[in-house]
Amino acid sequence: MRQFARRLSLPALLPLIAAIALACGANADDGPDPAESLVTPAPGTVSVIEAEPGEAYAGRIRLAAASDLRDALEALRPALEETCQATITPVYGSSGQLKEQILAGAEFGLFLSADAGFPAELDDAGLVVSGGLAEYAVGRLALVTRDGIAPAASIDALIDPVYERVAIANPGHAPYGRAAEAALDSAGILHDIRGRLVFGENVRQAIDYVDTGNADAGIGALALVINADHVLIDAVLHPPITQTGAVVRETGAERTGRCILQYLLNPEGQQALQAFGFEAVAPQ
Amino acid sequence: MSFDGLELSAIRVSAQVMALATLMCIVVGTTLAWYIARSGRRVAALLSALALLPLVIPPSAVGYYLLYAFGRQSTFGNFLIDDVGLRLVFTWPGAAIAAGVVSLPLFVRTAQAGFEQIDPELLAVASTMASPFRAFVRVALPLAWPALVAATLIAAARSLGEFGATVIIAGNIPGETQTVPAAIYDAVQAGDRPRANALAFFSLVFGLVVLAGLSLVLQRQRYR
Repeated sequence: MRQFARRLSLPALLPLIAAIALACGANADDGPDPAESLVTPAPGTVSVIEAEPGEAYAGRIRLAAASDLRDALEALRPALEETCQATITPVYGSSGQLKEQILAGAEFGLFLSADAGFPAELDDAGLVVSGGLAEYAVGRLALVTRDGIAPAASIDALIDPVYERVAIANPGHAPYGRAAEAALDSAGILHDIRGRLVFGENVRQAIDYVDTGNADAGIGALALVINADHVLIDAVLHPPITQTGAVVRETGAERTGRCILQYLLNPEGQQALQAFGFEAVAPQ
Repeated sequence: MSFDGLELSAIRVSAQVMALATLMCIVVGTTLAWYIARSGRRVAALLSALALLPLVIPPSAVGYYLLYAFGRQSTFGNFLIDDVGLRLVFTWPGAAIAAGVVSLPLFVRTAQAGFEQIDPELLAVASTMASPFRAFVRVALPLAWPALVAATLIAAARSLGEFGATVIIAGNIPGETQTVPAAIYDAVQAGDRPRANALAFFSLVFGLVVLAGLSLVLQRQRYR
């Protein structure tokens, strides 16, 4: 067995060595390093481009993205793919579900969570590269009403039984669901309308329930309804929905992950996110 | 193993869904199976294909069509909600309809086999002496009952396990429309191992009980 391994090792490793040499050469000589073309980070944000030895770029990266990013990330994708020279495959879900998938070994190069807690859990589990955690925006809640009934003018209006079904994301694993629950609680109506709540698997589905008319009203991410009729919910009613990115360790695409996260922190990325209703993280 | 309130409510919702879905299967499925077994070849083929359809399309597609039919997007759905006052989306009866539709093919296939085994001469004799309904109740049912019991057990087990169609039309509301499979999915997604364990184990035990019942019925049929 050992003899076999020894006989195999050199010829088998040769193409690998060649590939590594080629890849390094490409990085060093041909064209600019994708990360170097980035502009300076916005004030008050962290830099995540300091890669560790052994981290690599990849031509494609799978991205676990909170579903509040469904519209914003699609808009940002061409710029991200251009800047970081990688094809991005986003997989959307509730942040809690995505965190579970990464813990279970799903190969995502970058996790864009709608809260700070889930990426911190990954970090505690040793799954995040050093310096690979960054808060990149703050999400806001918005209230929407289905077509055909009087639009709810404020969160307090949901007490009216005309809103027979009120959709929010599942608070068990969706940050926007937790925030919506907290806002309803602060408004003092959570107890009264609990029986009328329906849970979407993620915040996109909660909004979808209202879009299709199957729920009468819903509380979800502003970023998903920015171009539709909505009522912004006062941010003092709930803890901040801090969008946090985490570059996942040992995926072979760590540098690409850092590059994407850094882009979101840069002025262009921030501007694009703000067009979807995201707010800048308050400077520490 | 102990169950907390949320787990018990999932079991309760599942029991309700299973009972109503199985009842639907018994009423609709027995009728369909009887006509398929007694009809001419072409009609039988058409009915049989219709009854089997939910078996060959994905349950999520079944759920999608039902959501459209019963929800606010369709005229029929608006009619049901506004004029009849029947809300099926996000309710457990809606879940039961979804589970029933998905389980129907299994019921029909099994029941049909039972009806087809009956000697046609017996039925011909019966039909000369009594109304078709009486002939069905007094002759066909007693002869086909083991198949009907087997069909009922299979449909019940299938409707308890139904996930794709029910979760689309009924949502996943704890205590209201969250069935055992939906609660397991939810627990896994939220990383709640103990809950996933408890409910998956419950399903396992229930499945074994159904299979044991099924093999008892089938044995009886064989040695009759």
